[in-house]
Amino acid sequence: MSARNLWSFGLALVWTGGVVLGAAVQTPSAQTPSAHASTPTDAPRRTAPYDTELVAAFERLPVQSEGRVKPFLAFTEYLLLRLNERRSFTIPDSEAFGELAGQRLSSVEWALDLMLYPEQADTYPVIVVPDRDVLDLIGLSSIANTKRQRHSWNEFGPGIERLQEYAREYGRIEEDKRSRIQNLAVYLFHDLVEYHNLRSAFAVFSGRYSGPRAQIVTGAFTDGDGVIRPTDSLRRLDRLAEVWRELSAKTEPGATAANGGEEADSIGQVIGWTGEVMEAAGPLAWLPPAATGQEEWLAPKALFDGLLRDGNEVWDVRVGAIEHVQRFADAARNPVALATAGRAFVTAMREMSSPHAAIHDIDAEVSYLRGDWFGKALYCFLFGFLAAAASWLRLRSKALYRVTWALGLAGAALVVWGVVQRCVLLDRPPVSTLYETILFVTGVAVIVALFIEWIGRRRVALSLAVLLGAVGMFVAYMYESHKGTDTLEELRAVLRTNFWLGVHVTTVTIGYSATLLAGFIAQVFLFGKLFGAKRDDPAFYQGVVRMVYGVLCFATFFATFGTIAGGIWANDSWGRFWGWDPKENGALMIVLWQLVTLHGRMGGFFRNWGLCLMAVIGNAVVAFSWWHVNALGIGLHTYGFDASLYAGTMIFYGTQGLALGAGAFACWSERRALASRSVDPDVAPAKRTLLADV
Amino acid sequence: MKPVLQKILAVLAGFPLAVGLLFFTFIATWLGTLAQKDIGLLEAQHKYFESLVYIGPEEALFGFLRFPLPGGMLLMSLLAVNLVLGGIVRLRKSWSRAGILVMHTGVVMLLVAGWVRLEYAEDGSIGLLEGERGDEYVAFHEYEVAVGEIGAEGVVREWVVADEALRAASGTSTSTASFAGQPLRLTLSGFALNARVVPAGVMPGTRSATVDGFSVQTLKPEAEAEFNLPACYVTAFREGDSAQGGILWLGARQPWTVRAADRTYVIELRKRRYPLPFSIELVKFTHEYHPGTNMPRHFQSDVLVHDGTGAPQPQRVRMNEPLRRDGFVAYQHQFRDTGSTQLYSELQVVKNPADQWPLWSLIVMTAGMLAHFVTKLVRWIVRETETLQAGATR
Repeated sequence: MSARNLWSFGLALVWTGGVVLGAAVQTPSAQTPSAHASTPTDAPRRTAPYDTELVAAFERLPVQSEGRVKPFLAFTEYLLLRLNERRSFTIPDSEAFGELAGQRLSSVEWALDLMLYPEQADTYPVIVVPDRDVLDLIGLSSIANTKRQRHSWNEFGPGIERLQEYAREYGRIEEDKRSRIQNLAVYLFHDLVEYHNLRSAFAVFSGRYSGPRAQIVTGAFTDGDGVIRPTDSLRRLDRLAEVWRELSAKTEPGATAANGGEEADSIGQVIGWTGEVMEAAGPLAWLPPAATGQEEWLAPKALFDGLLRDGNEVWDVRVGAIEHVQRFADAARNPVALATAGRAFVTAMREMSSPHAAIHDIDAEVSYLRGDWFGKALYCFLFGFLAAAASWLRLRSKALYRVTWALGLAGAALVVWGVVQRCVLLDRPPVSTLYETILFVTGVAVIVALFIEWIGRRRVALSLAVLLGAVGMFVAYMYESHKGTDTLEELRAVLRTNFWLGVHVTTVTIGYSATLLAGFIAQVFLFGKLFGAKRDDPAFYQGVVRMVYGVLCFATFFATFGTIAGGIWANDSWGRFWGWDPKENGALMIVLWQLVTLHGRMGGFFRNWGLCLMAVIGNAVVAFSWWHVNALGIGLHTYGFDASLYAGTMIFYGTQGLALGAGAFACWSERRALASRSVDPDVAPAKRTLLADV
Repeated sequence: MKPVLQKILAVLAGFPLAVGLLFFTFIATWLGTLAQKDIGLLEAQHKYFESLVYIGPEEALFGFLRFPLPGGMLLMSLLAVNLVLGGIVRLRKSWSRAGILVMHTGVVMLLVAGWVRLEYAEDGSIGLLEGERGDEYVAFHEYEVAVGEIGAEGVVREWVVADEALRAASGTSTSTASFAGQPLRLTLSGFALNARVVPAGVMPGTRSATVDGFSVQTLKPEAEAEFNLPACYVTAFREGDSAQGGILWLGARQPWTVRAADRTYVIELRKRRYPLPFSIELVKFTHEYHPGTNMPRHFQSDVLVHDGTGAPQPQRVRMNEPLRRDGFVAYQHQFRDTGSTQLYSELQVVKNPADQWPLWSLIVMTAGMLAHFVTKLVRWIVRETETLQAGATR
């Protein structure tokens, strides 16, 4: 450790006083600067809506989080999604909220409230507690008994400390071994820590030093109004540190005011207070690194450490950024000044960040987030399905058919556009995470179904296209809300840059998608037969069976190619083509099931009914590979472990089991009816031993 | 005789067998996947995928129902026979079936590649600190007992008792090993794949045999087989002297030392080591994390390959870009930040004669599938279009 670093370390020790070191999870209260910080008694309150340009500017403020530089909009959207299960927040229509009652806040507006008007934002019921038992656990039975699921920060009060104790205790248990309540307690505490971190990110900079001032401190701050603000101290931090070192070197340990100890102590107090403010600003990394080659952005505390380590000459530009924030926080009472200071701050930060390549996609990402392509696609598919349902009631309505087509195409185009934007932003193939598989599977299923409709014009594939599109987009929405984390996430080393990986994930996912599509088309056959639809139109059912068979062939091609391509990727990455890993096995099971079905069909063991029943089972096989193996908690490259996905998978198995049961019953009914008439056109006259009748 | 043979051939080449084999392979894959949760990947692999018959499922149905079912080795062997006979030899040769023929040929190639990998491949890892050089790699799941004679400069000669002999010493069986010209003979017994050494009698399940008051306690194999710590009892018979008993354990910090006829031997149970025909020197290891996280973004080893024929050759090994040489492939496997200035990099080394065969089989299969399925797609489009036109005409 160099002498300079040694001094820095000594200074750090001076001010770390009350900060809990080495704690696995820091308590929110531990980060509040307590020493010598003046607490405003008349906290500012917002009474008017934000300037729209200010909000738009803040959406584009670059920050670094979860390993990448992203717009502030992305950061706040996912934080609010975690806390509130929604991307926006509507202030309750109550007198307690004055002029703002009933106002809908975007995630950035809510975040600005939290950062500039924390006392006000602390009253917003924005924190979802999905199970009241968690509130009972931490002694908040009074709010547990209310009907509301959402609570404000203030309502948690002393419960936060108890929650911290439980979170620490449960955090020692492996995630998949915790009970639901234990998991919820841990997640809730983490969410509250994040809330608190953002709460203090800007507001702390409006503080003023109010500690002891020896003559030397007064002398050091003569250029202003005598008030010491964080930036006053930061601007001369290296000089203050130098003086402190000199005084400390001259002073014996335990020195008193009489022999110079008071002056050293007084300077140390100012430095320590500044450090506490910077620490209290939390971990939000919004300061770009000093050199263009560096990638790690800085939270204010890191700037403080940099100033002590390298001096003001290196870091003074970044202190300018803190001055902007300080002006912004100071302007909280004046909406006009606030808008001006806020825009100036964001402009300064974007200029400061401009040499860094990481910020070049910020505007594109904002456009992606604001576009909400998948949400819009969901609406297209939903309305498309309504139109399709209506067209089934009035079969000859060409207008409804065309509307369904238009909405189906629009939905597909939105999904494709969203996926393409993600590929451009992330510079990687379309499928790398579980969330992306949902988008891709849906997109492919819709496009293939639309193609089938274009060729066959039976309205079946079109109806399924919009239905599956709506279900897929809804699942994507639910998954995103449930996870509450950035879906434009960074990948581990092994998942980056390999041709065969890109080919594998893309093709195998097309295989998933087509297998599911075949299974759902088969259900049209089964339920159609069950309810006696188009009883007099055997050609319709023959057409549906041809669709099932054709889509299964398509699925087999992609699933087989994708599965083997995955092996080639594994061979390139680990030296083994096949490792019997659950995810690999899941993909193999899909291929095997398809081969059983197609060979069974070729061998005459399965005809129309058999093919459709096998295709429905194929859906369960896909669910096993796609979702279930993730809940097993084993395997080398199973991605997206999440025990809570298990319940959803079980529900899907249940629905497919019902479809299978209904189909088997319909098959049995038809066979009985035909047998009574001694005619069975669906059974080949030649002897069939295995499942010949199905 | 001829009709019987023909009947057998018909069965072996038939569709019913193909469908049955595919179905039972599906079942084995499914049960083997679920079993990994209970018995770990390696054990499940042996039991379900490399066996002739297995008893499954792991969790009995209704608490008591389990069935003998065909294992992966049996299924895939029969599938290969069925494919060759029914899918290639007896397949009616026509242009419309050309795709199927090619596709089946690709699948046979893949099955053969899998068999060659299973029977003939060797794999392990070599871990190096920066500046270190190594010319052997350590197996993941194979073990050996190494006997080294100590001279003035450390181990001067070494003999090994192979994995097979070691595993044969389980249950009531023993294995004996002698070393030509050496006054030492070893008898191994009580081999346990995963074990710990405990004071005799203090733990339930402890074996009755004791050595110096210690016993080998057998443990359930680890789900991640790499973490197993095998152990066994050993008796050293020394020429002209009494026998000496000991315990060998993979987790032991020091080897067991035996003196026989004025010679000193160190004996240890370790993971099997395979020699490389060249040596690898780790010059520099580089790793990056995604900023502000502990998620690795990139890591690579810059190595020098020494083969004794000339100047060492520099090579970069990183994720998805292995080092290939003399039939061996070294992959960037993992790394450890030792806390010192030197970083530790681990390369996974594989010797697989069928290394690239899956790629060739994929190319063949893809050609076949494309030919077959594109033909089917075109036929379907034509038929649907005709149906549509017929409907419009009506």
